[in-house]
Amino acid sequence: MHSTSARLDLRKSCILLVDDNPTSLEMITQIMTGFRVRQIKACKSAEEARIMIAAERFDLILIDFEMPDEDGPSLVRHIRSEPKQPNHTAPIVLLNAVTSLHTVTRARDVGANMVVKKPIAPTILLNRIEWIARNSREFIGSSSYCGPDRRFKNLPRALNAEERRADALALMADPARAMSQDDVSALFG
Amino acid sequence: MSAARIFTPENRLANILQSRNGPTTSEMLADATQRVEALQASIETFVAGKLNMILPFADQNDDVLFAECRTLADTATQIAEVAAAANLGAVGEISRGIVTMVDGLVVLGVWHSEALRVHIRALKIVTQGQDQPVGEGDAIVESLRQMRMAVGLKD
Repeated sequence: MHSTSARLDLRKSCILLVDDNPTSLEMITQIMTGFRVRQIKACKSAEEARIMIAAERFDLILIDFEMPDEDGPSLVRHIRSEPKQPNHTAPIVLLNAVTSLHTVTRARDVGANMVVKKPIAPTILLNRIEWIARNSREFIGSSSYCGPDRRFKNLPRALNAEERRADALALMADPARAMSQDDVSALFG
Repeated sequence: MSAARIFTPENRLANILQSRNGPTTSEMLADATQRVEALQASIETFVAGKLNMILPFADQNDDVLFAECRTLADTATQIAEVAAAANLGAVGEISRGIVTMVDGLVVLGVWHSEALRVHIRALKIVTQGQDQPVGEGDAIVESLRQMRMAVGLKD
């Protein structure tokens, strides 16, 4: 967890938000504005997002999991499968109201960096953004997966990563239950 | 089987840590929280509109409920995505329960019309005004969770 006196500077970051729920999209936009982000691009569909993603480089992409026509994981897979596009390795956070093991595992397997539960709590989101900023993870690219390498090697574990592993093991013992935000984060290493 | 390529991409967020004159995290969180609180009325209006779409399903027969379950789940998802941010935690949790019930059909093949109707009726109860005893919403949410467990859908 971040210190409340720590300073983070998102003022120069360019962030893309993708969410079909207009109220949720407005909420995330306001949270990002509160985080002092000045360049916020918002899309209401994956189709719209695909155009922006091909044209512009983003420092962070937040995508709703459940969307009609094309859902969040499908959009993530598209982003990760296009090495020549400017956002191939951009940090991606998937947002989901339902955090069953099935949905979280799917998010991880398409190459998302993180899942955050909706409705978004500003403190959780800022904590996850900081976590991503502190972790320069290697990527693995193959024909079936492109995304962060979740194995710990010699990297110092960031924040409370060790506890997250313990949570993950406990979760695996009972995969049918819905997951807390900590459970979700544990699956993303 | 294809070869795996391992590489280290640029960490695009790393520079946010280099700040000397940026805001503190407590300032950022206070501002963000205040902005979310300012949206409370519009969230309440949005949720009320979605509830108007869901509540009539309580009186539908099994066939309609089954045929329209995806619409029901999508609407419930939209409520669950925002309700708790406007102090409508019980409404959000019951909506999440509706999504779990419908996902149970898709993922596990579990279908219980009456249990689904109970969820919808519970939404009606928790949104019926200020006359409810303190804690009743939480009690309803917990009872529904236990009911879902009883039909094989653990939370």
